[in-house]
Amino acid sequence: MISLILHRVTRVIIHILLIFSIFLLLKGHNEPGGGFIAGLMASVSIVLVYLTYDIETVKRFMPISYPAMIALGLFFATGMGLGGVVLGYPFLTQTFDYFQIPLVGEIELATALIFDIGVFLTVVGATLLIISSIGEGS
Amino acid sequence: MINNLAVYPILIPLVAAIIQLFFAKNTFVQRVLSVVSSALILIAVVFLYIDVRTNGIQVYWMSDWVAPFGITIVADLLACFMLFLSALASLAMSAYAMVDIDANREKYFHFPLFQLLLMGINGAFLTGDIFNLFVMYEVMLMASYVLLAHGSEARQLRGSLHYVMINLFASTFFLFGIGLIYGITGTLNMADIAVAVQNADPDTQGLLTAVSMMLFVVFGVKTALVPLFFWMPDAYPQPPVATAAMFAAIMTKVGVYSITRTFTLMFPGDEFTLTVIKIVAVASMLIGVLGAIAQTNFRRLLAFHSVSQVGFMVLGVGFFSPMGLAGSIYFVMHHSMIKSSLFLCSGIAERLTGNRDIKKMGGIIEKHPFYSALFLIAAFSLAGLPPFSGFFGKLILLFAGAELNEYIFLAAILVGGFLTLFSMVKIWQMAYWGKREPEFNKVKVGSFIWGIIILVGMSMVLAIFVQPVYDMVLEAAEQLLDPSQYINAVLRK
Amino acid sequence: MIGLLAIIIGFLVGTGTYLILKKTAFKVALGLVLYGQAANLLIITMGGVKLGEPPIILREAGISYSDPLVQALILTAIVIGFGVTSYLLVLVYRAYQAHDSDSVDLFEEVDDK
Repeated sequence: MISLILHRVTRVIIHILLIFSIFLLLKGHNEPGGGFIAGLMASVSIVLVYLTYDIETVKRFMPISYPAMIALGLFFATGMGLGGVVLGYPFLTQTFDYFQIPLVGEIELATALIFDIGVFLTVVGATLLIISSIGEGS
Repeated sequence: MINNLAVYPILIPLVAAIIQLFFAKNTFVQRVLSVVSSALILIAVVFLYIDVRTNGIQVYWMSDWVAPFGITIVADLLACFMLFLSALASLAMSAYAMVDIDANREKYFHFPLFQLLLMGINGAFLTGDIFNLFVMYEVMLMASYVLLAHGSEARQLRGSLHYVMINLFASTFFLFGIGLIYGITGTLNMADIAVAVQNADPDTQGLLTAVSMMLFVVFGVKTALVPLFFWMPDAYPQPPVATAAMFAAIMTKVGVYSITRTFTLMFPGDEFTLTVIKIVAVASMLIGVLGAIAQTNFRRLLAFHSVSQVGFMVLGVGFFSPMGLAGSIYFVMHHSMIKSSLFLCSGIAERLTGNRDIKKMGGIIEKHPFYSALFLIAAFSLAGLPPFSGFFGKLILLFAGAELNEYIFLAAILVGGFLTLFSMVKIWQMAYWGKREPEFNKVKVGSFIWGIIILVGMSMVLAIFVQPVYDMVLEAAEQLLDPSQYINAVLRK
Repeated sequence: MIGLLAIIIGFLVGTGTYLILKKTAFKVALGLVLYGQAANLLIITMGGVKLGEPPIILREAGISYSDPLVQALILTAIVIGFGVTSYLLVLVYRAYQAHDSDSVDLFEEVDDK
């Protein structure tokens, strides 16, 4: 069954949802949010595309291999942890600093953000892998 | 400069898995990396063991958060032994998997999953935090779920569905237990829990015993103790042999390790818990082996044997004496080598005859005497005939029982050993002796047996150098029975 | 408050047990999900329940805050539960496709070729 309302609405809110997920990702270091919840948000919005259209649309929408996405995510997360080991601190040691960025002003950047991005990619990749493996079977 | 040695057994497989994921198309790189990663872990563990022997228990604070607030990685002698076993088993299994795993499974990430399984196992051995233990269990189980259902053959799905369900159920119980521990003691660090339990007020004693028994149930499900073993004979015959052998070699031992850790460190055994442990152990020992005798499916028979053999190890913990624990550790070492080599043997027999039923095999010894001899050594060792490693494992347990005047348990050990011998002879007679009418499939047995040679060879080393090995495990057992060493190392008192 | 939570946990465990004892694989999966929720609630209760207190010390708020550790614990438990449950559902679905049945014990012994 094709619902015109759902089609139109999905086209609009998919952008809002994805932007909101990135907002959650960046906010997550000191306030509620973070890589996992942002990843879920992003994958839920892609699930919405799947529900409205079909698995082919999702594939055109995100033409990447999901396992590679998981690998990249794990690479970021572990790489951040290993950075500490290379510099002589324990595994997963974090640090942060304040930077002046034009137009935005002073912001805090933490190495935990790299970890969060890794988690984000892993969660999105894993969810999409599960969905596509169910979706293709039917 | 901080000493990172303790965290390498977790990091190496993780990094290997990531690199393997990037080389998704190139299975050759993946295979080589599997072997390299296992070898590197083996080297790291040897250095770690030397470090622990000379400098005492090694403690590592993840991301520099000091215990009891952060997650600690603790390497004591027992953990070193278990890590050594997991590295050794994974080396042998990688060597076997190189030639055994079919192209389809290779394409769908068999090797990265195997490395993640290894990471979870090593993490469970090393962690000093009970919630982290739960997380590592889940990493391990998640990888095992996928490895078990890999390939999606109809018969695989049945076994793995039950496996996932029972393990998910047990994990929930683990969470209940962790929640209660946190409520009572206010901490999750194992050493800190041990201190809190020692100083617990007598009113909460009953609740603490209940929680410790809850954890025993959880670990009992994971190790497949009677009466929680029903998933195991269904699950282990399903996956590729290399995976099943890894499960049998190490995954059940993770449960034994956790039981040892729980009842020596956190809840040092009182009369009641030890009695329960011993009764469950003897029941597993006898019921498992009786189940094995009734089977004719090669791998299902071996899976029932695992139930029985785990009973011996847990009985050693139940004795709660230096000798009993030493016997338990020795038995774990012996069993992880022997049982996995038996599983690999069953894989070759399946390939040769195209059959899983030992009644339909037969006459393998005529064509492949060397491989049959390897099986015979492993089988006799499992049954506990001298001069193989199983004999010494049982002997230490017998001495430990005699020392404590627990004669009923001694009788159980002897009966269990005898029945094991019976079922092993049954396999030997049906599958290896006799005549076979149709021809065998063409299999290059020579390329398969390297893993078995490594494992059986190591078990022979265990048997020949039994005195030095016994001294080493006795040292580990004494360290376990003196939890203050562990507590002081972690909490830096 | 703790009493109410205890009742809810008991209700979840009871319902979960009922579902787990069913023969349909999908219902068993649902029962396991309920069990997971009960465990999470139990952990949160163990941290001491405080209404309306964030687990983060904000500058403008007072010094009162609820135990952040239990929240971290159940977040981890939820993540793991999410992964395992979604995998279990895929497995149930695949088993349903392979055997044309959703029962946990209808699959006959097929491993002895």
